[in-house]
Amino acid sequence: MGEAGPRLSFEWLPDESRPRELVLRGVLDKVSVPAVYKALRTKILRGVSLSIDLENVERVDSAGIAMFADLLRSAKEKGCALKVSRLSKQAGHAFQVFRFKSLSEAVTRIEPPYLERKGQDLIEFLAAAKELLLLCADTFTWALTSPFVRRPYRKGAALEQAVILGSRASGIVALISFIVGLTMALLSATQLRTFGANVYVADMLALAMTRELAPLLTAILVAGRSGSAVAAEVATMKVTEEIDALRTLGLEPVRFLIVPKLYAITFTQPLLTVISAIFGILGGMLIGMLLLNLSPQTFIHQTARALILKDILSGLLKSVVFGWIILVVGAFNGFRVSGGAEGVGRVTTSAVVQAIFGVIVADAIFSLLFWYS
Amino acid sequence: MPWPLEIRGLKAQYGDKVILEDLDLLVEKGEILTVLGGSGCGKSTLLKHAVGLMEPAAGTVKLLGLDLLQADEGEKKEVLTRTGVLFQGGALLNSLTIAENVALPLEQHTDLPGAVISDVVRMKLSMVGLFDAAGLFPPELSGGMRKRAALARAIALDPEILFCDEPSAGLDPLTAAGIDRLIRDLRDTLAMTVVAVTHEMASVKLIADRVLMLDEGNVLFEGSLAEMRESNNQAVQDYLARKAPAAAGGTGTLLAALHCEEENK
Ligand SMILES: Nc1ncnc2c1ncn2[C@@H]1O[C@H](COP(=O)(O)OP(=O)(O)OP(=O)(O)O)[C@@H](O)[C@H]1O
Ligand SMILES: [Mg+2]
Repeated sequence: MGEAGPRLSFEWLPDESRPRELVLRGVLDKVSVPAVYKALRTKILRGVSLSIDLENVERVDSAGIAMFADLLRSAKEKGCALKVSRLSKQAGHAFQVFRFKSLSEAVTRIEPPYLERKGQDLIEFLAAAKELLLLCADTFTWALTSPFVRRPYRKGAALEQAVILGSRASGIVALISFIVGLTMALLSATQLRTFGANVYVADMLALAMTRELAPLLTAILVAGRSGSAVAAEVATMKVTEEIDALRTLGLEPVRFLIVPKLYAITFTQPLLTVISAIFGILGGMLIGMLLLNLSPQTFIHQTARALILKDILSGLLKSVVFGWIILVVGAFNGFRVSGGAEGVGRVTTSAVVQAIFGVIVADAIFSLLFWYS
Repeated sequence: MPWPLEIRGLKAQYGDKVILEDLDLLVEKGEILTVLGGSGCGKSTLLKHAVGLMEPAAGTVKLLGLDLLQADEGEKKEVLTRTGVLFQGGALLNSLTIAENVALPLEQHTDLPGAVISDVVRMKLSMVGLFDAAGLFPPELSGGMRKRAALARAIALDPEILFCDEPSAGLDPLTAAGIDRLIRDLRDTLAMTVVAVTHEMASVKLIADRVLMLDEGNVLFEGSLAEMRESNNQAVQDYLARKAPAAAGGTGTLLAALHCEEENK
């Protein structure tokens, strides 16, 4: 005798005949199935053949039927028998309504997909790299030729994108750069003060910000903000067949969607970088005033002396390249989406991670180049 | 005069999964062909091959006489501007209003003045009964309205060949009949060729000159509706009679396997 909640009881008939007989009473549904399933499965796994009486069952639902499919599968594997001796009317109906198309569908075990293909990873990687290069080629070719073709795609799109990619990011770029400048100045203040070299805080910040930190900070923020947005936009459009629709309308998706963003980011990225540098230096100036007895005039004067045109230009050049990397990586991931909404989330994440990675690698390469030049 | 659509020996697959095998299809100018077949049998896949969105695993597809996968950009664009496609999900651009969606192909591919374009747009929207929805964005429309807006976009350029993936699915019978009428009228006035996927027999009755029925990757039947009714293929007759395929094993195969001696009383 066993209980599976108040609604189902099961009773093993006493005689030890084979198969063991079992009478179920009550409701066999998704609530009561777990307990019965466990009890029956234990028997079957021990190789006991079972005969089950469903005559007194009031109601069987699809979970109850599915349980039999699974038990039957286990019974077959164990080589024992599983029978249903008697049926209530409702149970008979349930077996007919909740049915598999064939017995083999009922008892096939769905194997979890296994990770068999390590060798394929490399092939996939190479294919992806090729796609990325093709996308780059496409984007830049269209970017260069588009203005000269008779009919420009979507007037004002580049401007609209500049607002989205640039001006809406300026606040956060300014704020974060200010905090970073402040922190940097604070860190070096202690050291510089011991040498009485307070005023060199300005030099240090001017150099670090223009050459390195402003482009990098801006790129990381834009990657998180706009790289992800580009990937999500393209991926969503792909999933909803909008990309296909563009193609059948005779519009090249790269030209239609990506090129206006490329124009926009080529202007906004250096602009944001300038904002970042200015606010970083302002952050340092605040520390200079509060902790290092530097008047704003001295600080600004010292900064102006420390700024080198070459540093500024190389910072701006870097920022443009970073912007391109972010955009192309975002677009690439967007076009690569597979699956539905979940796929969109996946490519959005990888767009950000890959873009930041790409930016940092590019930054290292730039550092090497500038070192030698 | 080339066939508007000429498909020979088409094999379609996703990865390793073959969807269509050795499919031949010739569509005549001015003909309305309806494609029938069970859900998931590859009708949308066939359309995607027809308009060059997918590359055949084998065989060739020529749209308005041109193999889109071999053609250069200019030729391809020229053929695509003479082609209209209504996607199963509508595929309107969500960042543009309904009117802008319909105007897009006109702006990109014609030299019409802006005022004329906007009149064409309003006319096409009016033809599908969406005159008042012009300023809305696609997510603000109901499913059936989106379908109709997408049809308006597909016919914006008065294409020579129109592909429709379930134009009347999800529409009430009256609106559906209106869409069917519209498709017929377009064919009659412009000698437009139409390839329409549909599940609605009512719609087939109204518009089809010829029916293509797919099943498990093959052509199950091809011919007129009258011939279809005469067909002695069981699957075709079941489809017409809307009869569910017989449940295998009668009383439920699982139960049979459980060796129930005493069946349902
Ligand atoms: N992107 C895809 N990747 C893999 N398989 C796909 C993809 N798209 C469709 N399929 C498969 O191809 C088969 C045919 O799909 P298709 O969309 O052509 O069916 P359909 O005939 O249009 O069905 P419905 O009437 O339901 O729209 C299905 O089995 C489906 O699983
Ligand atoms: Mg379909």
